[in-house]
Amino acid sequence: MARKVKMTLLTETLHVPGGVERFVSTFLQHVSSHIAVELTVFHEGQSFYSLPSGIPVFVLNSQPLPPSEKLVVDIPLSLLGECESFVWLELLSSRLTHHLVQRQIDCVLTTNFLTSLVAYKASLRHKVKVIARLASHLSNTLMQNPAHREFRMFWAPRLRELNPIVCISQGIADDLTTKWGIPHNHLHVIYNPLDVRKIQDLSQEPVTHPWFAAQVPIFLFVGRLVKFKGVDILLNALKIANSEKPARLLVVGEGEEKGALQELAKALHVEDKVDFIGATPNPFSYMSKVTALVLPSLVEGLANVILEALTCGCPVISTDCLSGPAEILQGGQYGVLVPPADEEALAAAMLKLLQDHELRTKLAELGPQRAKDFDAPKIVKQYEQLIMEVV
Amino acid sequence: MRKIKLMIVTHGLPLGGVGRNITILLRYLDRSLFDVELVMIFNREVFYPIPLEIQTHILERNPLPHVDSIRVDIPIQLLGAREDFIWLELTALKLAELVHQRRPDVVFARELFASTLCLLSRKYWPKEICFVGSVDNHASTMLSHAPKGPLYMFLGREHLQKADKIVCPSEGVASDLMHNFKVTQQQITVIPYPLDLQQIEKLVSEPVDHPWMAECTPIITAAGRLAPQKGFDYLLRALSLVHKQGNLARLILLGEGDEHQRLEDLAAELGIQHCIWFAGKQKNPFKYFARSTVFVLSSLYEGFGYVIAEALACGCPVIATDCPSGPAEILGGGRYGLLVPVADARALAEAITKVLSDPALRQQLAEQGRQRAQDFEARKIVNQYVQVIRDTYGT
Repeated sequence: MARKVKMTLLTETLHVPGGVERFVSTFLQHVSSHIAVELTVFHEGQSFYSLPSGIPVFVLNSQPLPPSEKLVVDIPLSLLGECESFVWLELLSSRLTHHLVQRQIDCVLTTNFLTSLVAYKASLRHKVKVIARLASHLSNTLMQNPAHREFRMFWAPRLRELNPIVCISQGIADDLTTKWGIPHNHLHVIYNPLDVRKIQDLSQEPVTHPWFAAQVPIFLFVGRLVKFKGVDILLNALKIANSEKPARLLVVGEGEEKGALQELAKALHVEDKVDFIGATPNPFSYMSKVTALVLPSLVEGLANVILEALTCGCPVISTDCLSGPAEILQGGQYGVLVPPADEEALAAAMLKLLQDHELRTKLAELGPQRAKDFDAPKIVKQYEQLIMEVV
Repeated sequence: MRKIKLMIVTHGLPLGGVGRNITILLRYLDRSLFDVELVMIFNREVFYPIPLEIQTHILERNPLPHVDSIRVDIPIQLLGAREDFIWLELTALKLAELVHQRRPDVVFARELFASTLCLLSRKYWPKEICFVGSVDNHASTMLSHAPKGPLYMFLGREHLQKADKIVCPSEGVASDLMHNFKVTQQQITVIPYPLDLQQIEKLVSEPVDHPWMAECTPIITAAGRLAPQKGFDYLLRALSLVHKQGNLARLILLGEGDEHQRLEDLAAELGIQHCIWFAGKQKNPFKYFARSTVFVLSSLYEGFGYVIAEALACGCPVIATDCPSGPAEILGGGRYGLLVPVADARALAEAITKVLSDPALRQQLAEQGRQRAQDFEARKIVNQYVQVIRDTYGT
C-alpha cells in the first residue's frame, strides 16, 4: 500500500473523566506512527486527559451539513415515541459520512455502543471499515434504563452487522454471543491499555489531604458519582465497618448523585468519615497511599480503576459484577471480590483487609505484576494488528 | 358513461370561505356524474352541514397503518420541524390506506395543507389515481406570516408541481404559484368561488333582531376570523377617523378568533367601543350584509375574498383593500366596489366617508354588485370544477 492507513478514533466526548476518555488518551499516546490517526468527537469540550500534540481533532456537531442535505430517517412504528433518537443518529451519521469522505478515512475505530451505531450507519452510506469497540455490558446497560427501549429493541440487534467487534472484557463478549446472537468470530477481547510507567510515576506525587498525616486507615473510591457505581452501598458498608474499627473514605469524582450521597452520609452519621474531594487528574497519588480501593459498582465493562489501583500497588475490593472485575482480579487471586449490592459483605471485606496485614502486603506485591498484562504498548499493538487485518 | 369516483380531501369544515365553498360544491356536484365522498383530516368542529348521502371519513380517527416502519425525509434546514415531518408521513400513510380501500378515480384536495398532504401520500397510491389540488390563498404571503411557514413553503415547492391540476380562485394566486412554487401554467385552472344565489336570497330575508336595525345610523359590516390577516385593527382606526369627521357610523364585526380581546381593547382605547358589535360566529351572515350601509374587507392578504362576492350578492356596497390577489379581480379593478391600499386606515376612512355620504354611489354599487354576483352563480362555477375533474380523469 502506497499511503499510510488513515484511521479515525470516534468518541462522544473528551471533557468527561471516564473510562472511554482514558482509553482515547492512552491509545493515542501509544499508537504506532505507521497509522495516520485522527480523532473525531461528537461534542465540543476541552479534553480532561492529556492528548498527544499533533493529532487532528474534529468535532462533528459543530460541522455544518450542506443545506441541500436530506436526512432519510427510518422509524419503526412500534418505536414512534422514541423517534428523537432515530433522527439524532441519522444526523450524526450523516455528519460523520461527510467527514469521512472529506478526510479520506479508511477505517473508524469506535469507543462505545453509540459511536459504534453511528459508524455503522455511516458505513452503509460510504465504504469505510469499522472496528467497533464495546466498553460496557450491553444487557446490563440497556435493561437498567427504560428510556433505552429503542436501543434495546432496534439498535442493539444491528450490532450483528458489525465485524469485527472489540470487547474490553470477556464478560462483555459472552453477553453479546448469548443474549444478542452476535457470532463468536466477530468478537475480539482486547483489554484496556494501561500506561503503567506513567501511572507509577504519578502515584509517587505527594498528597496534601490532612487525613494522611493521621494513622487512620483510609479507603478510596474513584469514579463518577452516578447510580450504577453503587457508592450508596459503600457508605452503608462504611458505617457497618466503623462500628468495629475506625476507617475513613475518600471519594474522588463528580457526578449527579453527589448531593444525594452527601445527604446519605449525614443520615448515616458518617459525614465526618467521608470526604468528597471532587475529580482529579491524578487519583494515583491517593491509590499508592490508602489501605484499599473499593469499587462497589453494580455494572462495569472492564473497570479501568481496578487496573490503575493494581499498578499503584493498592489492594482492591470490588463487586463481582457481570463483566470486568473478576477477569482482572482472576476470580479473586489479585483482589477481594464481593457480591454486588451487599453492604454486609462489602463491610466484611473491608474489615478483613483492615485486620489482615499479610493479605494487604501480598495484594500490593501481586498487583503491579498483574498490571503488566495490560501495559499500553502491548495492548495497543493488538489493536494495530486488528486494524491492519481489516484494512 | 361510468360515474367518476371523487374523493374530496380537506382539513375540515370550519367556519370560513373554504368551508362554504366545499359545502356548495357538495350540494351542486351532479350525482349522476360523480360518486362523492369526503375526507376530513382532523376530527374538529364541522360548521357547515354535509349532505347525508355523502360518505365522510375522518382521518384523525383512523388507526395507524399496518407497516413496520416509516421513512421520513427531513431536509437539514428544517430539522426543527422533524416532529411535523413524522406526523405528516404517518398521516400520509393513513390517507394512502383509505385511498387503497376506497379506490377513487380522482382525489381532489381543498387548500394548500390538504393538497400537500395528498402529494406526500401519493407515492403510496395506485398509479392510475388522478390528483387535483387547490390553493386558496396567496400562499407565499400567507406562509411568510405563519409559524410553520418555512415547512409548508418547502413542501409546497417540492410537491405542488407533481399535481395533475391545481385549482385556485384568482389570477393573483395563480401567479404566486408559478413564481414561487414551480407550478406551471398548464397545471393551473382559475375558478372563482361559487355563490348559491338562491340560498342567499332566502337567508337575506330572515329577520334580524338587533336594536341598531331600527335606527338610521349607518352600519358598516365586516366579516372574517378575528386574526391579524384580516386587518381589523385598521378598520377600527378608520372607524375612529370617520367618527372624528362627524359621522357616528356603527360597525358589526362577524366572526371569532384569537384577536378578539385585543380588538376590544383597541376599540376602548379609540373610544368607539359603544359603536361596535362583536357578533361572533353567525350561521347566516347574509341578513346582516343586506341591511348594512357598506361592507368593508380590510385584509392584508386574501386568496379570493369570498365575503366580498357574498356582500355583492346581498346588494351591499363594498370597500376592499387592494391586496395581492382576489379583491381587485372580484371588483373588476374598482368597477363594482371601492379599492383602497392595504394597511392604510386613513384611505379606508376616506372611502367609508365617501360611500356613507353619497346615496347615489351606494345605489349604483348595489345594482352593479348584484349583477356582478351573477358571474359567480353556483351552477356555473361548479361546472368549471366538473370540467377540470373530468379533463384530468380523461387524460
